[in-house]
Order: sequence, then structure tokens, then C-alpha cells
Amino acid sequence: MKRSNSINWPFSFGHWMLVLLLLGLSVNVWGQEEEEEPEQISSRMSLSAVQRGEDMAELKALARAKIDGRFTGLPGLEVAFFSLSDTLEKELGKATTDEDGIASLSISKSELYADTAGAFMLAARFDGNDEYSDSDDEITITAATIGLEAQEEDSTRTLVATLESRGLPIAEADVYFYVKGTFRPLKIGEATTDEDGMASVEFPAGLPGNPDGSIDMFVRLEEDDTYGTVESGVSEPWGIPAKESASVTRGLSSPNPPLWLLLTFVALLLIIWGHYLEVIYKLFRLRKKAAEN
Amino acid sequence: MMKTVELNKKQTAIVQALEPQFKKAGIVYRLWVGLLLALILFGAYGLYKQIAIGHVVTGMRDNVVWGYYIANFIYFIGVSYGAAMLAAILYYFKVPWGRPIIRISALVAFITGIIGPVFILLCIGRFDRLHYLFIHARVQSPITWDVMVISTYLVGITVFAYLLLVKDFAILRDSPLLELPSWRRKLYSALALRYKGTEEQENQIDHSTKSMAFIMVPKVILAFAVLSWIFGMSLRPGWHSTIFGPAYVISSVATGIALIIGVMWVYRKLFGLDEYLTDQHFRKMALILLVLVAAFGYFTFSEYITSWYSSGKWEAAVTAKLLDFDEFGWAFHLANLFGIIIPIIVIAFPRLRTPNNLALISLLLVVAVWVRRYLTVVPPLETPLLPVQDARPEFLHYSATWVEWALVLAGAATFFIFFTLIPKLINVIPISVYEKENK
Repeated sequence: MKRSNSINWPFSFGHWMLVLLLLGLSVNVWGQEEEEEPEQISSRMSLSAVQRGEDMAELKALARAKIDGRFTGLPGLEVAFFSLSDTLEKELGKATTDEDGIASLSISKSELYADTAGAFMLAARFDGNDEYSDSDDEITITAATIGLEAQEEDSTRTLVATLESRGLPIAEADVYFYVKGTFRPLKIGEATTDEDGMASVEFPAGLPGNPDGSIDMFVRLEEDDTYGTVESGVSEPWGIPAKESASVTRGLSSPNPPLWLLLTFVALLLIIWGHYLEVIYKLFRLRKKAAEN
Repeated sequence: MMKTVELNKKQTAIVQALEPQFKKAGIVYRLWVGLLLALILFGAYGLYKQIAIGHVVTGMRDNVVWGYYIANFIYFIGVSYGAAMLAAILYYFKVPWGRPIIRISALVAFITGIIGPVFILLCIGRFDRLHYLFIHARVQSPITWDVMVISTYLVGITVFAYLLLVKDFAILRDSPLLELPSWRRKLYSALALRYKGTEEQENQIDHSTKSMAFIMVPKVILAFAVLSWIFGMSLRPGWHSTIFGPAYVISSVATGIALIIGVMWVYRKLFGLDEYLTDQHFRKMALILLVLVAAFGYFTFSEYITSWYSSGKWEAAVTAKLLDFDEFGWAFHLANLFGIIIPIIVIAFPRLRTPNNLALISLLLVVAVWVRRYLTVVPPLETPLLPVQDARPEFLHYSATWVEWALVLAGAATFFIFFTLIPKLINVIPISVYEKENK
């Protein structure tokens, strides 16, 4: 039977090229965000402040939006922080929100406008972008400090906190005591301040500390309506020294490979390269022998 | 009179059929070579920019440290291993129908084997430290294993491809049927190593070739495994998977076979080789392809259903990116459609199993697997184990630049130019493998 040499294409050349092109483009074009301008989603801002030590304040702005029915933190947004008075507005700085949608800025309290009662008016503002609408939030907090003292009498260890605002004690406030951990703080107690603004808890024995035996502790007045969050810390050698983490003994991480690996490696290379050399040697001999004959 | 290699009827017919292949190049041929050279020059310009300015001209950054280059490397070297494996198996087991395909398989293996590693060199930022790979090699590092395995493999495939050619060089040297310029006769003469077809010589060449073929299979599996371990042995989501190696082996062998089918189709059309590369050869290759593609489909499904269904946060994040049509969804689904589903459908129905259709699906598969290689490299790198904070967007998302495109196109052009030029010197249908015929 005679074979036909004609080309029976199911597709034309143009089809081929189109399919190829689409497939190739898909990597780059479809791999990226769609070009169409999406509808702007309304964002929401929540501002909070932590007063730390004598003078510092950390402003935290959480930017969120309702996405797929759930409030989700918005990363990568630029948030500006302001200190306000009745007539003035001062920009303190800008920060970009992290993966959880939080932008934070640390600032000295001396830089903030304060009213006669020692209250700070603070604001955070996001100006909006193509994706999300603008949003802002304002809070007013009153200056406060909390002191933390570690006392040791006989075998009893006590943490004493002193809460004050502009030199006056704050009474009837709940404060919480923590030790810092690798991943999250461990709460060791809570207490209410007395009329001198003081509260204390007994420090538990047997807690693991850093390798030198020190433990970082802090006390916090949490999200108070008037003062916001106020905290301060102290470090004491009250912990059981942590053992240095055991050194990694896995062979692959050490400077020298395990023997079995080295032997396998060398043996495989020797077998294969030995075999090559034999074949190549024979090829040369083939040529030489033919010349001799 | 000097002894020359004697030819039987079949071999004489093949030598006579070489005319269209060896004939003087026409204008279309010259234009085509010119176009490819232009692409290679464009790539050279890109490379010059990359060396002069640095890797900042590419889309690769601190976080996504690999891109087109490594995708191209694992693609080409995988295809090479796959083609080498086929050539070795066809030769070693003396598969009767495989004889005319061995040469093309070895060529595909050799050429892609040369192009692949070049892309690692393009990816390396400091050429001046290249020798550190050897002088500071750590035996426990998969990268060291890969350096050794690839160099070992390249020597192996070169020797194997050459051994397959020695007898044919002798035939070309001696054949009075061919009108060849004297420089070509001299070249063949030098390459034929004074082979005259004596029994001793024949036995020696056959023995050497057979032993190279024998060792090729475990070597290729080792090479495959080492390359996939570089990915699999890291803890990175999307790579750290036990099926990474097998899936890579299967898909690469499938791509190698698809590429061989494509090259067979082109050479058959160009050089009128219908008598030697018959429809039957295409069908047999297609059936091997069917088994491999089906296995690849199964491995793909198994890999992604496992990570989608049960795995941890980051693993699931990679899978989600691959399935999300706003990210890599289109690329992933189209690659699976053209690389797995359509080939299976076309090959499964005997009516559709024509050489033209097979060449078409092979081309689609070859492109689709390249896309899968890109999806192997980039989305996992865009999904680091720990969240990256306050990083610039271009650190987190990879987008290839013109320099990378130029070098990738130059790589493809190099591939094509090899396949365009080599048939002018070497017969694509081996002659010597038919020596026992009609004797």
C-alpha cells in the first residue's frame, strides 16, 4: 500500500502557535495579579498605646478590613501617627503595617502635646489606596507610669508594682505580672493597687531562666480606659539556669561526613569513573592496534 | 587494497537516503540558522549585561533566589537523563524497533545535557568562585553530589554517544556512494579510530557500548535522584516531599520521549525518512509516553492532594497558590491539561494516534512540563517557611526580566541550532545497527 505523504493537520500552524503562546504567557501574566481595577474595600483602624518606663510610648495601629466575611489584618499599608491638641496637629512619624496588619511607632512622651490634665490626644491615619479606603482612629490617654521592684526577704521573693499618674498614686486598678518566655509571656499573678498605688505578688520558685539564671519580668496595667496600657520590667537572677541547648550531632551538619556516606560516595565515583577509563583506554587501543595491523 | 567496512542492502539504502540530509543548505535553512544565531547573540548581550552590572538585572532577589535559569536547568538536564535512559535501554536490550531511534535519543540526551548545566553557570553570581565547588566540596551536601553526578553523567553520555557513532563514522569515511568534500572524509577518518569492521574491533566496540549502556541506567537514576534531593531534602514547603524524586524522573523521561517524538517527526518530514521512522515507531513511542504521562498524572495528584488535605500551614499555602487563578492557577491547570490530560486522551484512542497528532501533543507536553518546572521552582520560593517582614515586594515575588528571557531564548536557540547543524555532519538514522540484517 502506498503511504500518503500529505500532512493531515488537526490544527493549523496558527493554532499551534496560539496554544504555545498562551501556555508560555500564562506563567507570567496569569501568575500575577489581575490588571482589572478591583472595587475598593473599606478599611478600619484601631489605635492603642502602651506607656513604657518613665518616658516612652509605643503607638500601635491595627488596620483591618472585612474580607470573605472575616476581619483580616491588612499588611503593607502606610499609617501616619499624629499628636493632637485642641488647635494643633503634629505628625509623629509613619510606619508600615506588618503581616498581621499592625503598624507601630515608639516615641518619647515629651514629644506629645499634653493638656492641663496630662492627657495625650493621639491619632492614626491611613490615606487609602486603590484597594482599600482611608480610615483613622483617635484615642486619648493620660500619662501614667508603673514601677516594678523585686524584693527578696528570707526565702520569699515578691514583685511590687507602683502605679502613678503625674506623681499621684492610682488606686483600685488591676495589674498583671508576667515573666517573659521564648514565645509568649507567662502570667504569674494579678493584684489590685491599694491607696498608695501599690500591688504585689509572690514570685513562684522553680521557674526556668536564661542560661545565666536571670528572669525578665514585667508588670502591666492592661487597656485601661484612662491610661491605655502601662508597663515596665525588671530582670532578676531568680530562675534556674537553662542548659545550653544540646549541640546538633547529626553527621550531615558536622564538618566531616559520616563514614558510610563518604564510602558510598567514593565507591560510586570510583566504579563509574573506573569503568569510563576502561572504555576510553580500549578505544585508544583499538586505534593503536589497527595502526599496528 | 585497504580493507573498508562492508555494507549490506539495508545499510546501502540508508546511505543512499542520506542525500536530502547532507545536501547543500538552501536559503530557508540559512535564514533559520541566521535567526537562531541572532537569538544567541541577543542572549550573549544579556549575559554581558548580567556580568557587567550583576544579577540585579535579573528578577532574582534575596528571597526568590532561583528563577528561569534553574527552571531551565532542571528541565533540560531532566530531558537529557530521560533521553539517555531510553537510548541506553533500546541499545542494551537490542529492541528491534528501537534501532532507528537510538541515534536521535542519544543526540537529544547529549545536546540537552550540554545546555542544561550552562543555566546553572548563568545562575551563579560569582564565576570567579566556581572552582570552590570542587576545592571546598562537602561530601554531605547534595549540591556536591549534583556537581559530581552531572560531570560524571556528561562524560558518560558523550562517550556513549560517540561509541554509537564510531562504526557510522567509518561507514561515512569509506562509502563511495556519498560525494563528500575531502575535509569531511578526513574528519570521519579521524573520528572512526581506524575502524575497519574486523571481528575483533566490532566485538570491542559492541562490548564497550553495551557496558556504557548498562551503567547508564543506574547512573541516570542516581543523577535524577540527586537533583531532586537538592529540592526534596530541603525543608521548604512544596519541595520537601518524598514523591518529588519519582515525579521528577517520570515527568523528565516523558518529556525526553516527547522531544524525541518531535525530533523524529521533523527529521522524517525534512529528510524523507518515512521508510525508517514509520508510523509504527511513533505509535510504540506513544505507548511508552502514555504509561509515563499517566504515572506523572497520578504522582501529581498524589502530591498535591496530600499537601492540600493534611499538611501544615506553609505546605498548604504553596498548594493554594498553585490552585488560585489569581496567582499560578492558570499556568498550573493548563500545564496539567496539556502535559497530562490531552496526551492521555490522544494516545489512548488508536484512531487519534497518528504521527501528526503525536508530534502536536509532544510539543504541547514539552512546553507544559517546562511550565511545571517553573512552578516547581518559583511558588515555593515565594512561600518562605517564616513570614518575611518589611521586605520590598520584588523580594517576595519573582518576575523574569528581559535578560532572563534573552538567555532562555538563547538556550532554546542553541538547542535548535544543534539539531539543525548536526544532521549536516552525522546521519540521524544509524547505519551500523543494521549490520546483522541480510548478512
